[in-house]
Amino acid sequence: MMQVKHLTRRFGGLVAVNGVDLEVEEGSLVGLIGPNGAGKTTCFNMLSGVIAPSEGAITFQGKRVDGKKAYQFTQLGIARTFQNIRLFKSLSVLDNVKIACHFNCGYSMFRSFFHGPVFQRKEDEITEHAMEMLKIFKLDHDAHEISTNLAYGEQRRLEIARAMATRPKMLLLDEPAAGMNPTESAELMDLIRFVREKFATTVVLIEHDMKFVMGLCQQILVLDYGTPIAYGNPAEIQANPKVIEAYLGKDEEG
Amino acid sequence: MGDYLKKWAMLVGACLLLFVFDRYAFWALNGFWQNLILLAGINMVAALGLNLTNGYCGQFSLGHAGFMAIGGYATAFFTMMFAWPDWMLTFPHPEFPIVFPISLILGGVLAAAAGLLVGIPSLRLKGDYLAIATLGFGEIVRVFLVNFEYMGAARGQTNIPQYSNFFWVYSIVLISTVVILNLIRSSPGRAIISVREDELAAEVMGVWTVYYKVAAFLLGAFFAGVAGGLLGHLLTILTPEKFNFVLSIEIVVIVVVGGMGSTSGVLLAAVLLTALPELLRFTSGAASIPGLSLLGEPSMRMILYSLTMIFLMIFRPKGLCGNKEMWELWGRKGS
Repeated sequence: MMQVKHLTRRFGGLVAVNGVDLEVEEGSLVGLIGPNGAGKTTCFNMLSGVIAPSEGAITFQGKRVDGKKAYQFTQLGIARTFQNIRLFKSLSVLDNVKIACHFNCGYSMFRSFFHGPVFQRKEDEITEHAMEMLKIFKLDHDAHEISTNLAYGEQRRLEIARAMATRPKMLLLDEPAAGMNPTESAELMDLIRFVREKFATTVVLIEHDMKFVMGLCQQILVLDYGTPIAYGNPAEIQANPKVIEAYLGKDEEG
Repeated sequence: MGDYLKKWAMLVGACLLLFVFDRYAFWALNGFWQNLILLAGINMVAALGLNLTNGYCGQFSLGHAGFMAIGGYATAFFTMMFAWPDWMLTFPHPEFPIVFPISLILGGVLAAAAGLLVGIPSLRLKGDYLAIATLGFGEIVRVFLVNFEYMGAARGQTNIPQYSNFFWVYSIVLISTVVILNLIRSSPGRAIISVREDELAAEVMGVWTVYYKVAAFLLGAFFAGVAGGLLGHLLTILTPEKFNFVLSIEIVVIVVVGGMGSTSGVLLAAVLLTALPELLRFTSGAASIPGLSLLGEPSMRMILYSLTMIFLMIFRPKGLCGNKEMWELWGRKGS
């Protein structure tokens, strides 16, 4: 579904991501892990078009997408969430999701001046789709609440709901379990599994919680100082000496 | 479907009512009040436009006077100098010629074109930098007009026919309000607001943020242009000095006092802020309270005006209505 070849990003003299190769298969669940500052979020920013890669190619469903803008990535079917929640703070929960439906809204700005019958029909469809999303993510009872009034875990859920409202084929989750207690993150694991099956979405996620990643992902890519050091299934990654070294340091002889 | 036609029929009906009022009642007011009411209406149109750019889209523009100047001069050009067929100048009535609304629209379109021209490069800037760039644009327009011999240069364009009347001004206020509220309650409108809320998140939700920023800027310029056209045809004279930086600030103040992103708040603030300096004139009169020599000072009203602003910003720092509409605030306890 997505092929990444030799993805590199430099910030001045710093090489934040260095030659990442990744093949994400349709329907898979891939984890991206690494110590702090390993370049995971930079990598995500490139995969979602927020920043352009310095080198390398990203191919999504057979088409080159690197160099396109973030909104075009989303319109092609790559949605993402953020490590630090970025909701539309002063808007209602429902409006947050409706904005994600915007590029599919099916009418022009000109029509919106008059609120004619076509507008009304399309707008009803948007509301229906948004409410359906909220229902799936158990947020429908708070639909008219201002988004910042939600509890932390709900805000995280809303961010995923909003991303799913863009009808993505691939979902990128940047530390979805950050700041959650064990019960909440267990619920989130179930939710991600559920979303993947229900919408047939491919999921790539960054996470520090090892139990979370090992329990959820089929394939894991490990980055250290921007360079990929290991790729494989959870059992392989746990046994990989390079990974253990990156996380815990090397056992000095003598 | 029927509902939709009914709404627009009601709008046309309301405009007809305004027309009747204009013909049969408005003249009975004295000239001072007439002028004040018309100026308030023109400020409403200008501020509604700026609210789209500054309030809903969050792109702080200080160049509104520039767009008003372009609209004002362009409308005057079209009503005075453009070679319309003769019947258009008298149809349906010499005081209500069809050329006026056409010229207003053309003036608005030209202002919007200028908005597009300025918007595309300067909307790469954010916050203060955008404010400075748009401020510069306003000054460029003013300096250009000072040297524009064809339309009176620094002396200004005189003898503009006085077409702006209660009917035109308030019909345009009404239509602008409906159109803007409709836009804001639609998907493109939500896209414009999402840019203000969080530009990066909007982009990642598939919103082409550049397009909506330029669109908000362009629509704001259009309304400014129409307001400029109405102003010229009310004052019958346009000078470049009228459209200096102070006018931009006045419109910004209306939007801030009304509440950035509140259409009804902005309309209310336009009325208050147009009327306040005039209504405070009584304080400039002779001292009526013994022992208070401050009264009777001609600048007293401006001091009171400024104090009102300061107190307002202390007690309602987000403007009269914040980013809500009046009817949304109604009935809510506290806020």
